Amino acid sequence: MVSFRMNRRTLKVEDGTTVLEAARDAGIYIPTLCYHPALESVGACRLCMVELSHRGRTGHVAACVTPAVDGSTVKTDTPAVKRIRKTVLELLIARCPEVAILRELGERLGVGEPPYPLENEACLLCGICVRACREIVGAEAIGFAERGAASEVLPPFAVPSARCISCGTCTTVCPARTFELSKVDAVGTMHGDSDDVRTRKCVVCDEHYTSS
Amino acid sequence: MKSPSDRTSSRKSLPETDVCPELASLGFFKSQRLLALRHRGLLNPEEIDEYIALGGYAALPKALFDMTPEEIVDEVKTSGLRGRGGAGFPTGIKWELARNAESKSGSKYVVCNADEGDPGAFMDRSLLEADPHAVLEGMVIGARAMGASEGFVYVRDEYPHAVRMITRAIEQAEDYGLLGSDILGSDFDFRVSVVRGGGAFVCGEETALMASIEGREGRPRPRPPYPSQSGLWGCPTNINNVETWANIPCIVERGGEWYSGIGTKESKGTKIFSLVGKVVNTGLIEVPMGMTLREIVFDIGGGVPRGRKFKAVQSGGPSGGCIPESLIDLPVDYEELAKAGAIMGSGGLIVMDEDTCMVDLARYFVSFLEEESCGKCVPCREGIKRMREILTDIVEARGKEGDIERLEELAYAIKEASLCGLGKTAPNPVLTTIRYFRDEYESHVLHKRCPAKVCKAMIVYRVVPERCTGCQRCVQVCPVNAISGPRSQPHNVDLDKCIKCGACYEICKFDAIAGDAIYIE
Amino acid sequence: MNGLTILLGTASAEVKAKLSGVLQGEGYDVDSAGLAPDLFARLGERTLDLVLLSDDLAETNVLDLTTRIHDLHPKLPIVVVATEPSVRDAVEAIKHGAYYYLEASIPDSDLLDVIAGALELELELIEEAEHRRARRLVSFEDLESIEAIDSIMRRHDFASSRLVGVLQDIQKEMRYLTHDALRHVAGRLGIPLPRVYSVATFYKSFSLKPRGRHTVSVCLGTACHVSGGVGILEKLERELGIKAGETTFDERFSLESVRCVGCCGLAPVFVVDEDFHGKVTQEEIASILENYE
Repeated sequence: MVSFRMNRRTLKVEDGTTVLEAARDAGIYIPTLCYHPALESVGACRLCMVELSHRGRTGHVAACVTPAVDGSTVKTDTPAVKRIRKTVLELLIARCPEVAILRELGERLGVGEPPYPLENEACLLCGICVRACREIVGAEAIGFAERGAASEVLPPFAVPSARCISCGTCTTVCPARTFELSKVDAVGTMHGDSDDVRTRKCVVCDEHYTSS
Repeated sequence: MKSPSDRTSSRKSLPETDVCPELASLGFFKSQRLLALRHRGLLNPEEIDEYIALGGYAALPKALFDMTPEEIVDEVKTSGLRGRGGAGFPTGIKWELARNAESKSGSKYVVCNADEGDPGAFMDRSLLEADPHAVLEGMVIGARAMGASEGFVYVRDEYPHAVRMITRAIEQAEDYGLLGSDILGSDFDFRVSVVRGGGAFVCGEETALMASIEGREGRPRPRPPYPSQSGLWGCPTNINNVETWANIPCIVERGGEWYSGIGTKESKGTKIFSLVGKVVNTGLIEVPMGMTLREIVFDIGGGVPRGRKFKAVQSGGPSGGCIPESLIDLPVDYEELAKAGAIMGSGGLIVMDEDTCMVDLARYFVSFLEEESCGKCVPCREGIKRMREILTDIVEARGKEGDIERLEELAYAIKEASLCGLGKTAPNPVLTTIRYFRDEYESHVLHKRCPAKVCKAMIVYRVVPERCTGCQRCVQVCPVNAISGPRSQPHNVDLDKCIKCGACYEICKFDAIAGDAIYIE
Repeated sequence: MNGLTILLGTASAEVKAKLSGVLQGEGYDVDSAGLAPDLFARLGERTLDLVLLSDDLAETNVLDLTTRIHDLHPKLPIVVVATEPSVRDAVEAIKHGAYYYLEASIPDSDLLDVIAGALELELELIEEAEHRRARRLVSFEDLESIEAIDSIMRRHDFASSRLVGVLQDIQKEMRYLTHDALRHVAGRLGIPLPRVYSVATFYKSFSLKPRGRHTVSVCLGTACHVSGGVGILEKLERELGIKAGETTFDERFSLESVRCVGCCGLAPVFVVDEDFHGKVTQEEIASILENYE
């Protein structure tokens, strides 16, 4: 067991529990985007930054990938933490101004219009769909391409992947609702803006599905 | 093929004198202390026998037969050696962590990080090209200390000659029984292979480097687990920089105590710097820690050429910072550099004179990091992009009030919230230039003036009619025919056509009849 | 006859008769084999457009068979017909490279739909390949290049961890990474294609577009930046008539900017292939380029 302080409370959790999981169990709010309880955490969105003090050293860490340490102190809403989250969320909103979940988070955290020129991306690049496709479905039909600001989530060569089994998992886990699952005729589009592709019929229910 | 080193030899030879001067009498060499570079220029790196003849591979049998692995680790701890790749973590403690870590599969790995990505630094390339066996010997000793049986040298693909030299060195060491099974009859096995990088600065970061060795894209992952607990293929892995490894044989041979006698309280030993930029003597230098910047730039480097005025030194590459003239007496070690807002990094020291625009330089580093960001975490991917946008606006005369404060706000979040070292240090060049050269930023933003006359949007090229002899050299080189004027008459620059490429300025300054008849306003 | 040939793999005379009838009725040419070795013999000796595999072949797992055919002929669509269908097998079959998984009991019209869809996909790929050939680029269809890639992978012991090195060597040999080369590497090293694609697009040294015979790299490291490297790059852009990242029309030069080649003492520097040109002025550039044909 690990015992540590969070804000003004003392929490006791199993070894290996992350700071985020401990906070959720205790009903303490930490915002997240790229976290999904069924998937490996990667610490990509950095919205869950908290202040961690341990053995005289204090710094900011991502709660979703930091295990709770015995004797440490975590603070989830210091002015510095709020300042970091504000900038991170502003950066995300500037990238995807139309994505509803970001606006909802903005309201909750008190973050309004970002001070940057707005882009109009649909995808947050949180990677949840990529991880779900690999870790849960096992199809590994989509992945990250390129790097840095040019990163995208794509099937190889941006053409419909032969590995996609049209299961729709990516559409249901996507926090930005970049993909939507729709029942379609035998032809539809898959994975965002790729060309038309012949869809597959579900072997169980006999309907054609695609994610778009 | 012509390697860069071939070309250096073609540079001007020394003036003839009665006697050949000794190295120690030359300002450039006088105050250097060569440990990692101890064999520089003295041996043929393709011949292992030459390394052995100069005393190489003497530390290895000592480490294998006269010392226990714990004693090796202790010796390195005593030496006070710290990682030469940038962060300066104590090497001995890192080794101890890897030594004590348990491996489920029984395997442990050591890695030599030669993914030298800092623009302006080339000590790793030079060490691998000039003295590859020193690096290998250090690795075998380290592997023995930590109980690793396999090692990798991760080299940039942009360094083909270094790849050839280290590959050849490995083959020769294997032939001599210094690598492979049962090394020198000690029952200790250790193999090394060379892995070439794919062209990604972020792979200098340990977790990204390991992903690359495993054949994946180099995206860093959160720590813990640390590489010493779970590294390559989930096994304990120790990664050290080329220069760190090259110091090991010296330390084992002459003792940690001796090594710790060199340098300052917290930073022991010597450090290689690549002294480049606007300085008379450019090249790699190795000096004891704690030498002042003034000694490095003016005594060793010979000062700024062509009578220009010294302005700043950029230390530590894109993750580092600019140190202004007012701090020229700063003793160079890990702590002092950090206090000044810079870092040791891999040891790049780029000297700038009054012709360097600090805002343009900050923009340069930020756009470098933007291209090299892996794109995984938001502050680094999106934040650096926004910083570059703001800095580009400023140098292109579109800056507005509040931009400097916006940069500082972004810098704070990027520094605190980024996933890996690339992002955490990315704001340094911006923060240090704002800290020491805020007036230059303000001049760009408020008055649309570039004091160093670098930012194209804020300058024009003009001819001084009194100086121009009408030699027409500038007319010939102008790519857009913006310069007109008959021979022997003062020329004229058509400002509407001029693309500000600087070709006329360059040729007038160095190659024209009169010289210096074109100036930048 | 529509000129398209389908190879039918089934040991059951009943399945064979039924499917052959349906397919021939639609104008397809049908060939069949009842044993795996016969199947591979047919694959070797004639041009096929599609393989229809039933799961009743003796001593052979239909999934293994799918993988082997897919590795040999990554473009040949494979449709699996299951007499005992299950969701698990369906997912597995797709993951092993099948285009579609069908129940044997499905209506004839649906079967024909699926086959038409598979062939359409193949035609698109053929068009893409012909398009490439028309541009006289290194074509993967050349058996030579498959062999070259195989021998590169052999040098790396077909180890999946050596992916970066394998791609580097292919890039050096073929000047760029073709889609087919990446597919082939993924198949042979047993790495999912999306991962190969991620790696190929992540690292700067790889190009998925054709490159010139000579690569001109302008160093924009810090020392070169403060010593006029940008001017050198702009001069080269004007001289070659292309921007950084592009290739000249005659495929003689590709131009790129790189971050520090590690000879800062010689700034500004540019590199043609493996030759370093240091302390260059804009004026010298044209005469240096003349040395590279």
